Amino acid sequence: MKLVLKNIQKSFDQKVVLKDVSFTFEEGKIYGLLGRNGAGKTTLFNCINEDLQIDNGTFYIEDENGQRRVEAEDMGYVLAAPVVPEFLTGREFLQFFIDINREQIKEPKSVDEYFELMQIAADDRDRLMKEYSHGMKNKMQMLIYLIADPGILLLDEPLTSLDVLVADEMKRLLRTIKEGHILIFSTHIMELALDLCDKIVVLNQGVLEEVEKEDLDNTAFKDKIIEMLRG
Amino acid sequence: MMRILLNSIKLSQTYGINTFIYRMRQLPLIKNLFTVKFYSDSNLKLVIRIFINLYRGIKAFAGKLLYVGLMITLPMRLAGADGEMFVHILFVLTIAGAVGNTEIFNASKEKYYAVILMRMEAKGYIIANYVWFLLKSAVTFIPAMMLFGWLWDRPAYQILLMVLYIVAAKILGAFLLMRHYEKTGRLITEGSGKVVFSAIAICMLLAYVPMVFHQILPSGIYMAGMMAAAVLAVYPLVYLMRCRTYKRMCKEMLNQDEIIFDAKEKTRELQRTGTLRNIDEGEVKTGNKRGYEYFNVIFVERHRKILTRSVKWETCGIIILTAILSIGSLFFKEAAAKVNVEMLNMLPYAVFVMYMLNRGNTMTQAMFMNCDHSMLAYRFYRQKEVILGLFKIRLRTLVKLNLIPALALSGGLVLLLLMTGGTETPFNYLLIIVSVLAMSVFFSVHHLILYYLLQPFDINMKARSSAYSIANGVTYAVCYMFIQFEAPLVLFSLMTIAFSVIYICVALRLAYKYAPKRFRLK
Repeated sequence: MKLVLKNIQKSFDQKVVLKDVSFTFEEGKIYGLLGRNGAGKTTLFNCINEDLQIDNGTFYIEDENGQRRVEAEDMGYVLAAPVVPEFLTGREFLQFFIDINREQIKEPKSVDEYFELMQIAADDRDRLMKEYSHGMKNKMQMLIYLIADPGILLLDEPLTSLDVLVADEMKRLLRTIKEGHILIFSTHIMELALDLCDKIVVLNQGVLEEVEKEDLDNTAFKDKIIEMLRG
Repeated sequence: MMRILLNSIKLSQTYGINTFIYRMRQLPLIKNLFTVKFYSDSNLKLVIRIFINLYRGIKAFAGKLLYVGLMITLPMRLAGADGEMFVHILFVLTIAGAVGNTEIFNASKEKYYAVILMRMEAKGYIIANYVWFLLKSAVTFIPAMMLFGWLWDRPAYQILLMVLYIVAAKILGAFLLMRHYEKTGRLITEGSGKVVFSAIAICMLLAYVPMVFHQILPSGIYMAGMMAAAVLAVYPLVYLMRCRTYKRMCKEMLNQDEIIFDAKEKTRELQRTGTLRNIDEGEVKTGNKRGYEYFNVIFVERHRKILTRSVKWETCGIIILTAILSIGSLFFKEAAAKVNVEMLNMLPYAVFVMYMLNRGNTMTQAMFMNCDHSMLAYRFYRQKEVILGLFKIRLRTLVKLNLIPALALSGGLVLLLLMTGGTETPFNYLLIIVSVLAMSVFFSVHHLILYYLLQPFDINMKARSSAYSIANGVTYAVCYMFIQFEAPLVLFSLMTIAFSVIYICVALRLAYKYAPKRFRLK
């Protein structure tokens, strides 16, 4: 499976955010999306997730059956500011989510097994989510997508609000699920991107470009990335 | 001091100008006129600056005119009071103003920007603005006091004394609040705390109750009081000028998160936390429901405080009222006969009652704040079949919920008609029941459709959609107008039933067509 973006353009008022974004993301890889503040990383995600209408261009999935539209169930989008329905308890939310996705879930587990996976403590599971901390909400949101298991996962700065242990666990988790998935991971933190991601792509001046590692060592590679970010 | 004052006025103006441009850029059509260039174009900004200053100036003078006109003159006219009363009301209301409008203890956004964000020196900023505030108060009160004082035959020296008293009282109020803060460490800001609110309430009572009985103190006492206040205010003024607590006070006052919002944002924030508080943590029975049915049942159960429980109260109220009126009609035959005749023309009144009883508005608001606002971030929730499926489930819930008081009301009306002498055409009973129930369903559909088609809030829950507000306002106005309206039962009920049926059909059709596209976060 490939996710192909072709000549995507997006402007707000007169400000061009995405000038001409073309790229092909391949299955089984974690992509680190780097860009300066305001470079348009979130805009790009919003466009791919169809939260925003693109002005021009196209994007589609290419697999063994040829080209097809990106459907809702192909895509998961973990937001930087996680949102969960406040009136449900963690357990009720999971139960509801498992119910409505019963047919898509390949290897269903029990609700508590899912909680274990995310290391959510037993006494938090039956609390209303309006009382959850930012990090807890983040875990819940991540968990939802682990259950739904979409082919493409967009992650917008997902690790920044998690504590060290959970962040580490999450990294491990992302590495294990990357087989059969396309993971696109946007972050400001270069070390995190280098540590976790297989490929680094840079969004600069509205254009998306891969930074080829070639045979550079880490320091030289970093310098190259910074050079590209500077434009 | 002059420099600090000019800087802070400049800051406040810049804030005003930018807010103005920002607001204009949110409005449909007008936003095309206000391009981003406005923020940088100094000529255009100058025009806006003049406009804003004019507006602020007019607002300050007009505000005082309105205050004296509405709070003092109008009640006096209504009560047929004489000029002495003017001094009394002003005297007492000024005490309310002295604690409710102190400037120093107003946790305003301007102050937050200047002292916290721009790091202006707190004492200098507060004092410069305070002196400016006192001068402004005096100057803007003079025309209002002259006009209304003259209307009530007050001599010039009294008018001047009253203006002086207003300023003095403000100084005394701020001084007392400041001493209280210094002694106890507890901050009483404007608009916060029960102290200010109760002080204002007591003053209102003291101002208006004596007016009803035409009993006030001799005017000499008010004059003496005002003069005393003016003399007594000298030391507090010096104290406030020298006081060293401002920095600490600003830090504390401007850190209470909710305070940096302006009034509108603050109400919304309160509304938001209020709606969150409506979530009931108690146990929930979901039976064997699954998926979206399960989701909806939990939503309703968790919001029982504002949904099922209020419906129960409404229904109980209607039943009790019906019982009282029915029993009453047994004893007061004459009145009952009148009611009987009136009832056949009073059905339009039921429109307004049904509007008020309907839980649609409350339910959609809770839906947005506590549920859809976050769920719409998930793409699966925005799928056409999910939106329509949940719409159906919610519509069913809302209709059922509202039918309970509607049944009680229609039953009550029929019973009352029977008890007061009945009607010649028994068909009337059926018409009452069907039309009240039709109205109930109509309002349920109406509220839910408005919610689904005209999303009331944007993603930050700040801006209210103007289309939604207009639609809601029109609904209220139309329902209210029905109160003034009398119509024969048969005609009116048939019209209501026909209207409801047509509206419901059209609205549902529109919902099915447009909701999947329109039901989004903006």
